[in-house]
Amino acid sequence: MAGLLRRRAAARPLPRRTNIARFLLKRFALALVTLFLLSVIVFAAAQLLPGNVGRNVLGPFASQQDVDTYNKLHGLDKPMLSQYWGWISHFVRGDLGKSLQYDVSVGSLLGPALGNSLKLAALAFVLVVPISILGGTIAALRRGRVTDRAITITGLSLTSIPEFVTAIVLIVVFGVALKWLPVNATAPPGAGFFTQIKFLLLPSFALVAVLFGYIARITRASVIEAVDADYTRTAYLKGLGPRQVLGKHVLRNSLLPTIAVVATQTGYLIGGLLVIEKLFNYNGIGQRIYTAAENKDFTLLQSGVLIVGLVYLAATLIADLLYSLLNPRIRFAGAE
Amino acid sequence: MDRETRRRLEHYRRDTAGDVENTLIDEFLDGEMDRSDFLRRGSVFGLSLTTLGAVLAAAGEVPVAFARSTAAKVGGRLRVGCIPPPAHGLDPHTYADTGSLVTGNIAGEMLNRTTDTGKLVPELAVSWKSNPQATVWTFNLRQGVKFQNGQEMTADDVVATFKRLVDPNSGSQALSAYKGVISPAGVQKVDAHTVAFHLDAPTGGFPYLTSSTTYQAIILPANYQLGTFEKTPQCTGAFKLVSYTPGVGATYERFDGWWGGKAPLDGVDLKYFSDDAAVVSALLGNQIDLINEVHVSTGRALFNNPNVQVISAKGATHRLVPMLTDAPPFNDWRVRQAVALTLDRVAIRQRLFSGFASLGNDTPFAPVFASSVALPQRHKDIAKAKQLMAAAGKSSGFSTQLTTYKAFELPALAQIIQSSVKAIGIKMGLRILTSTAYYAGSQLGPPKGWGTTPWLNTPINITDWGGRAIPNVYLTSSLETKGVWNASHYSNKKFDKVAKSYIAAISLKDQRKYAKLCELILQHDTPAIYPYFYYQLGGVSKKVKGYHADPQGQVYLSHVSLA
Amino acid sequence: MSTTVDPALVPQAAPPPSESRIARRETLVQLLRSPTFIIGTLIVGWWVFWAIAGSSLTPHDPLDQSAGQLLRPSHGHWLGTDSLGRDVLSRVLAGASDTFKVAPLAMLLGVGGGTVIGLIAGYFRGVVDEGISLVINSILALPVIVISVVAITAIGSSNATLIVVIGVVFTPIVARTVRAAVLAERDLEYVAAARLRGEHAPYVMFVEILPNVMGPIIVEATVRLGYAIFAVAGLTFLGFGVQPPSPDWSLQIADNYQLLNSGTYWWTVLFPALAIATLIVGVNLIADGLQQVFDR
Repeated sequence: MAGLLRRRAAARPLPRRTNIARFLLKRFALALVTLFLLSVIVFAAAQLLPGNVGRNVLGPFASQQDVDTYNKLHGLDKPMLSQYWGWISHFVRGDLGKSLQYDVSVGSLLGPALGNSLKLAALAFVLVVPISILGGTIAALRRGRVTDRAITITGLSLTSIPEFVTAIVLIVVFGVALKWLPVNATAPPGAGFFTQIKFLLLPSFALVAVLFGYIARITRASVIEAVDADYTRTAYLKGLGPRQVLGKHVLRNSLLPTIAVVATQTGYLIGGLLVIEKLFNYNGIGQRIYTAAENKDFTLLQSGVLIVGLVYLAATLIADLLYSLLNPRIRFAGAE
Repeated sequence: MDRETRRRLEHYRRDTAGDVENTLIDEFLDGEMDRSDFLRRGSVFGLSLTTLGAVLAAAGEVPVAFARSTAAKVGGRLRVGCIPPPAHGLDPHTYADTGSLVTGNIAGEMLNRTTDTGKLVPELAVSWKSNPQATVWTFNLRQGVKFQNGQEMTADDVVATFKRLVDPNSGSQALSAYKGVISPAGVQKVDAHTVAFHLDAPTGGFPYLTSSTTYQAIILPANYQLGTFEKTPQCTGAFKLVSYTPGVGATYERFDGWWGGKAPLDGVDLKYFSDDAAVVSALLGNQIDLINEVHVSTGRALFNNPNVQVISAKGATHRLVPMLTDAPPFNDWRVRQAVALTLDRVAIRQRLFSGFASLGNDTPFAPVFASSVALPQRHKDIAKAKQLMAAAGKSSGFSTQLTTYKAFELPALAQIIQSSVKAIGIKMGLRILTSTAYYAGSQLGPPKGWGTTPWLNTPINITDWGGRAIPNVYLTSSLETKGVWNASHYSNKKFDKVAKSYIAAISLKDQRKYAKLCELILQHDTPAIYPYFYYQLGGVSKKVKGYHADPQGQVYLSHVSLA
Repeated sequence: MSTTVDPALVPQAAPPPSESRIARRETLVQLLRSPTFIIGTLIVGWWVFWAIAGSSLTPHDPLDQSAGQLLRPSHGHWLGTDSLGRDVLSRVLAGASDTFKVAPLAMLLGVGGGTVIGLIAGYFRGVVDEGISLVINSILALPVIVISVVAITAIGSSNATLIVVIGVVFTPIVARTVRAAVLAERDLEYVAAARLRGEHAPYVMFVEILPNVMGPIIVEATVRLGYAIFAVAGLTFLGFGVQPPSPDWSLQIADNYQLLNSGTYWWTVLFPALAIATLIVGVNLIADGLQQVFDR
């Protein structure tokens, strides 16, 4: 009997490597299916846009005949399915097609824009995560006291102010009045690493203001949960000092939800910063997508949105991976 | 006036000047036009500076002041902020928005140029004159002009460019200026340096139509390939377009072979903006030196700043508020006049433009046109408006909806109109679309109708109309019975006749005669409200020298320098 | 399938049904003792009052353009006037109603739809769950603003469109949260007991499970309300939301923010911004209060 049990117990936890690999594969496959679904949604949505591509490109004063000719030339009168297939079959091969309004390759427009968005997101990320984790942890450890209240309320207030207001205030105060930082986020071509960062500081601050409260709150809640948890008490009882307990158990477990939250913000940080990009005149991918939507530039719009979706899925995949690596409890439950 | 000058003037009048020029000089000497009008019209008819000076002297006027050419400092790059970005490609004949016209016109040039005071000065053409009926205009081209690709400019290039501009099938956006005025067959080469335009209809102001006012009229080589404008420099201007990134910016380098010599600037860095506040902060924050277009509503910060300057050019840019004349409730002229009378135009001018505008009088004849006749200014008059509404049987008012789109001060004007018409019982809803939606739909054009597009088919709307040097386009396209952009569906045979006479008139006296008739008819019928003609404003940092605002919003940099 | 769990939801063992009513009453008492909840309710209550009162109680008509342009805050106009001569105080007070016309309905739509979908996904598991989660993840990959802009451009701008668009965008987010909560509940005894009794799936979902996940749902709903207000603000700023001449707060900011460059007309932007901020803070305080209570 005992032997049977032992055998069964031994059989259950699989070697770590295989489990992670299976998990990854499954997630990857799911991501692909998700992407496919995303492409269909994006394509359908783009088709819903009002206005006529030819009319948009040629302007309100062009003749109806010219407009029809244009549409025919760009295959815009073909059936939906064939247009979808035409787009997606090229996309997976890396050929993103030509922008309908600018007549240059979509890749040449989206590439730099995506790079810019990634740079801004990275800087905002690098700034906001440590500050928020620090703030959330301190607030949790000083729970209920003045420090906690101050941090929580500050975070809450900053998050509640619409980002365009924060951005405008930052521009006016730090850029125009004090002249400490440049008001446009686009550094001159060929600028060095530190110059580029200087130009990106103001928009990053605006993003930090928006996200700080949210991330700090999540960190605070999970630190509190960790501090109150049984395993922490056990660790103390075992004789570990507060710093060890904090460092090893509490922080690691509070990082998990933070990672999860930050990953879900990726979509916003990359593709949703339209307003910030406008105000700081920054050539990010949000702007490109928005202009494409305004002008019914299908190829640019669809590819742009799909790329943002791709980045988001990659980010959540990485986040899930980190999550399961860091949290032994969820790891096996998550593999389902 | 000394004897030599008089002798030359008499010689000119006898031998060189045609009927048109002589009529003009007579009118001036008879006191029928003032000095500035004379200078302007003289430039239209290609009178040289010497002749103008001589005529002025004959009239006992102070001679034309020659602008002293201060030695401009050479060197430096100018950083320009352009709002909004070009929406499409850069083939000049397709320009339809501000972004493209600014981008193309830093590198390109036209036959002549309209200055900020409405004068015509030679550019790629050195002189021009017309036949007595103003149906054939002959332009003498400048010699020794080189394109940026090395070719030399000749009449073939001008002819090819204009054939494309006036061809109804080339996708030319300049047809609004040229349709009905000239067809491709009328563009003819006379010799290697002379081009003749044989017009379809007599047009006294034709040289304005070949000038910078028609921002598509950039002269290109005869062998210009479509779609290559941004790929290789091939204009005649002082700067070569060397790089272009859609939606982001463009770079220009000085063209050493420019016919005008050496431009002071080494190059120009153009950056596109899509937000007014961003471009204004950029100028205030010293990240750009010049903004192409500034509006009072968004650029108030520039007005009192010691480091920047706001420059203005009077023009005919306006907002049109047409009302559908072929359907209730606006099919009664009394209702339309009543609406016009509810507007406090002086307050509107103050609120929206801080005074940087001329009052509109419900006709397209802006004060800036020499041929405009000033009728008594229409002001707010609620009592009279109520009377008219009662006479039309609408004293209890009615409901309607005003459509416009989100740009500049259009939503603000819409809200002002909505608030003003409450006084006569009109409940006006607002529908504010994006510009794409506003211009979307079909435009089948008469006689079938005006399609489905909102800006030509809504009871009352607000559309922005760019300025022109002469009002011809306004009359033919938006007010004549079959006008392709006649948003009010206005049809008045008497008006059509008078408008045609106006366009054909050559002498200022005749133009004024017909202008007055047009204005009287329009003020009575009020197919549309013209609330104002606002000044074109630009913003520059104080270290920029030699820059003048352009009535079209163009950015002309050939003589600009940095202090 | 994402394993992320919102730490704000601490899955709790569900008390047996007979005790839950007592627990609910106790919750209410605890809420009324929580300062965060009280302050939040006061703030939101203030704005709800003005949303209902509208322009009938404001010192001036929010649409009246007869005052001087851009006057500083002063005796006659406590918060100054805007560029069309309208009283800022009246517009700020009257602007509450536009926010409350759209945001709560959008939130209800999102929470309602999300709850149903989350319940179905969490209860049935298996293929149904995988399918639904797939679609949810696809939609979540799209940036909110982009979807909203595309949708509104397609359908046309109106309050109804805004409600539907924002509601639909929120549905997947709520669904994910509800699903996680349901997952924690469905393996508990009372669910098995109900199944054994022979109850149908809808009964088990809506009558048994739903009351026990109400805690997280309510918290999520209040958080979503904050985001709905935010979304409306952002879309209005871009020109897609509420239409002029409405005194909506974000419309005021959008119309006047260029004036901030000169710094001298700050009152046209500051006060509407404060209005939005206080409302969202108030909503979040309520959410916090609820969360604290439900956590215990």
